[in-house]
Amino acid sequence: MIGNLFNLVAIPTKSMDPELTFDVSVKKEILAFLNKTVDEENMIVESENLKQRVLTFDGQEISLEEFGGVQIGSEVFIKDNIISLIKLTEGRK
Amino acid sequence: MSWLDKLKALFNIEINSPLFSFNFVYKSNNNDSNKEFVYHPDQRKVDVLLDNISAEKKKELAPIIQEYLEAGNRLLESSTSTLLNRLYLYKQQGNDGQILTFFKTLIPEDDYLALEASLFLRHIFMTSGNVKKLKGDIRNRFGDRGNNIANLCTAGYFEEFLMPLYNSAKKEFDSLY
Repeated sequence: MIGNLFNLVAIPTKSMDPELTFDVSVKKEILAFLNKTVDEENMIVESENLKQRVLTFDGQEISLEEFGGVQIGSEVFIKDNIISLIKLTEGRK
Repeated sequence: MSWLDKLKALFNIEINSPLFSFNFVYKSNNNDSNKEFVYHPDQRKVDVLLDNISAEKKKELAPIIQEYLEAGNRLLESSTSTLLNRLYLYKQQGNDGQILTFFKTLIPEDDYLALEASLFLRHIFMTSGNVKKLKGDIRNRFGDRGNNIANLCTAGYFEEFLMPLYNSAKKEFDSLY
């Protein structure tokens, strides 16, 4: 019940359009849409430069397992842990 | 044409009711073997079945996702989106704001961040949520100290013991903390 209610609360964005989300099973396909892939250590990298690891909004490298999402032009990656999300909501680094 | 109109056009989605989300998934059963999407009217959600979509359509989908992001939106894993929604709602309610304000300048930055996470964990625990992942996140980031902060916070130690202690005996607070 509570979970369903929470699902009806929109995350603040610049519009009232529906949001795009993805299941954990399709993470690699989502990365491909963003021109990203993973290296031999399962860290997310640029598809066109496998030595270029992407960074989260607070400057950390990020693995496929940690990948929780992305914002603003596919360059700002978000980890799926509560510490990162708290920082995200407060604009902290 | 907006990214939303382009997305609907790409998959011939003719739904005029307001939608909350489009969720990219793999199909969960054989009943969906020929479908590109499944509409869940009760959740106002459309599941886009990526394993039923041609390579050509995926090429067309990529710039639509980019346009969505460039409009200032987030593309989140569904459970991350749910957690972020809960976090925004919790922060809007502001029930623990007094505790956080009190400790903001009294404890180290990492402890404060662990306290913020722990108060949210306690909120989820009290509203019948599963906190296993949240406890793991705090432990992974802050180690045993984070785990201790989470346990003390859940027990009400910060507002019921540490705040009165600081107000009545600052030196004892400093030596104890």
